[in-house]
Amino acid sequence: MKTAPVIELSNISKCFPGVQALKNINLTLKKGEVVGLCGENGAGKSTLVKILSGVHQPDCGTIAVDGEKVMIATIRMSLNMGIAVIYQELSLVPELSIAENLFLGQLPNKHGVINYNELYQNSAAILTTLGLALCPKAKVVGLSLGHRQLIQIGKALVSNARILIMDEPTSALGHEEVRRLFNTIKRLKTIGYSVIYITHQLEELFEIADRITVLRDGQIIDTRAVGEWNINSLVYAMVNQSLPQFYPKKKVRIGEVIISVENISNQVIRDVNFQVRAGEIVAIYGMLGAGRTKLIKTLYGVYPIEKGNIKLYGQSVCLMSPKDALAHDIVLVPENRKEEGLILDNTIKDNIVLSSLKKISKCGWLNRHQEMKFVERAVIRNNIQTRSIRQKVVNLSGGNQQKVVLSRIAEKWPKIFLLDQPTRGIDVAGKVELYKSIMNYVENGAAVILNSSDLSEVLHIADRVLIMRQGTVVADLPVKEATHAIMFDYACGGA
Amino acid sequence: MAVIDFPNIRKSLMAYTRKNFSLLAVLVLLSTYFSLASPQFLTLSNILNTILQSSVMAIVAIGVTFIVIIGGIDLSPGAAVALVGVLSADMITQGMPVFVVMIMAVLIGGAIGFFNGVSIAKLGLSPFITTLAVMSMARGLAMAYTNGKTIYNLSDSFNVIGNGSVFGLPIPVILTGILFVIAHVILSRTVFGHQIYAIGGNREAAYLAGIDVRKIEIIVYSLAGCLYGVAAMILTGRLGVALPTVGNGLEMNALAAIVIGGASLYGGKGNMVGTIFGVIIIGVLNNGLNLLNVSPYWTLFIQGFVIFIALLIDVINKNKAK
Repeated sequence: MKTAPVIELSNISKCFPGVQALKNINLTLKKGEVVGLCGENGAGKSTLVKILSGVHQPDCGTIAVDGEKVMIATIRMSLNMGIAVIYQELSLVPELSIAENLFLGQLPNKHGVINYNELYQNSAAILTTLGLALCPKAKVVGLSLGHRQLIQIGKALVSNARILIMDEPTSALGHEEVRRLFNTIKRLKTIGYSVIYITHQLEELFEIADRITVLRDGQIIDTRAVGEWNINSLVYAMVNQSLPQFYPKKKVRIGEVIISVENISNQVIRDVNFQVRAGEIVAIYGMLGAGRTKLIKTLYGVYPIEKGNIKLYGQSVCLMSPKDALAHDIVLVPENRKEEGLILDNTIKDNIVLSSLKKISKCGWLNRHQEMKFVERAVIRNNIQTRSIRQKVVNLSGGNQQKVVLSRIAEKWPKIFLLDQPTRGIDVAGKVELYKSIMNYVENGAAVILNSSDLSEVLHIADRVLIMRQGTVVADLPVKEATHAIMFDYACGGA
Repeated sequence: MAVIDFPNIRKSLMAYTRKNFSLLAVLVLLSTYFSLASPQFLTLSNILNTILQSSVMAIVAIGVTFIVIIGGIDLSPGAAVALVGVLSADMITQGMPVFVVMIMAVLIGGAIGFFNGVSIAKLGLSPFITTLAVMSMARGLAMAYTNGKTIYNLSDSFNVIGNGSVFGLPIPVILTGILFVIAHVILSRTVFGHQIYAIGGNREAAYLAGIDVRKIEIIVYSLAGCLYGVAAMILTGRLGVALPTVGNGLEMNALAAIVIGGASLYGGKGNMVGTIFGVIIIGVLNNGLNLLNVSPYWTLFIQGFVIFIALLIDVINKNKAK
């Protein structure tokens, strides 16, 4: 028996003033199917999601749900049809229990008195569906980000959603949490849920999607079964040019030891030892909570060292604050560029000069001329794409935002880069651009310490891999010897 | 050598005027209404009087503008002004030289601000709660010190700060103008000003960019405190007596002026030109209501309502930015 697709979009178009956001979109989603949706920023993915969730209405074209033509005029209507968008920002109440969060707004009750037995039973059933071994009475505040994301999906199930739209669901998750999410998605598939999965992590699509649809400039370029795609054809479809080198890794002469970490310990890391040389990129790999970000922030002076030594060019240094680190030409690109890296409402110029105000001023007076020269150098060096340096950074693409953070020291070539998940949530072209910037610094003698959850990034960009477990470095491998399995073993304590 | 770049200043003045166009419109509307309603409104003496009456609020507002831009808030200025007022009045009656008392007033104000700053930056207390407590403490100290009584018989040379004039311009107005210009230059032209905006815009990012966030915060609160000291001298000088109960609601008027001027209580936004406009608008409103013989009770209500509207606009702007 042939059943109608759960969603069928025919000839959907949408115009915004001055932009054709979507043009003749035809897309079907069958029951129990995962359709991967990818495309560069601005390709129209979010407009499509907004049409499905009732935020926008298409200018023309039809939407059919279960074979019946429908109008999705409001968010409420979209929810009633069983369409749920799992947003990146989580909307959970941390101080309430898992059960209360799952059924928030629709707690089982009699005359306003909550029936806790029923609540916990129903919640346990939902948690089983999700494949989570959690107690429904546990508070959400103690859960990891990955678990919270799954609870968010659980909330959608509670409201009888059958079609889940996930927009970059893994952007904040560690490797093992991504695995857990995928297991949940696979489980949901088998019991008849359908998923539209949007991501910049192309590898993920090959693992989770049945079909992959590529959007470019508001149009569908191609939809094919996952087996008919490979990374190269996918990238080609997305950006309409083959990226000669997706990872523009260059052979760089490895120089002297720049940073030497000797037995450093504090409340978050213990007995960490390693060295990084000029021209080297060293990746840090590990499970969530292994202390990777903590190590990077320790090297940046955020967490003081209690024991051990950090040596730069053989000299012991004392890094008590980010200010000290910057004074030693150490630049951090923090994990969350929007919360920690940038002042979003300020201009590109103001963000670039933030760490170097002393250098472009005299006795506290800003020197406009020097400021301009500084910013110009930074923009050219990192090829930051912008109309004007007075543009607010909030309006830049992720890749360009990240380059603004990279430019913090522009009057000379910085010595050490600490990159914490630098390419997270950045589209393909932006990633390539960012890698180019990083390679440019490496060629000029910088040492790079890269924390990344993106395994193929680690394997293609790094020279060596440090594997961390429980706050310490358990292995230091040349990238040639590092395979998926070996790294995973070390990270989990198997080897 | 620093060369003052005249065309640039003119350009930036024009930019500010454009940015503050709606404020100018409000001011013109308000003034037109009051001048039609009251013949006294547009007289030179009334205009000077309005500016003079606003000078205490203006100087407090300069300090609070720094605090609001850095992402904080200060509820203590009214009480701080009262405390500094009675302490310096007492020093005067005890025969201390006026010059020394002036310095002391600024220092005591600065000390109150320093206390605020350290509690907020080093001890991690919330600005709202800290300054609320300090407001109560300062007011309590002022009452306890004077036993609730007024201090009379201040020396004329002290009262000059409030009543004197140079070349026909009242000293408080001159002082306000000078402080405004200095504050504006600090905010727009110096490293310190840049850092204040950065911290208010995103405290964590500013810290990771190597800015000594705590130090800057303490300096900002202390600086604001010093300005409360100046405001206290002007107020005491103008009144010719020191009351432990003065300055009630001063912080609210100042905050209203700042928010009207376009600063955001969420931090990172605001400028001195906006604050000037805000102060003048509040000043004109107070003066106009006074001329129209509106009862003080209704004046209080209207002031509160204006603050409410200003805050509402702030929230709407923030949501629009999203």
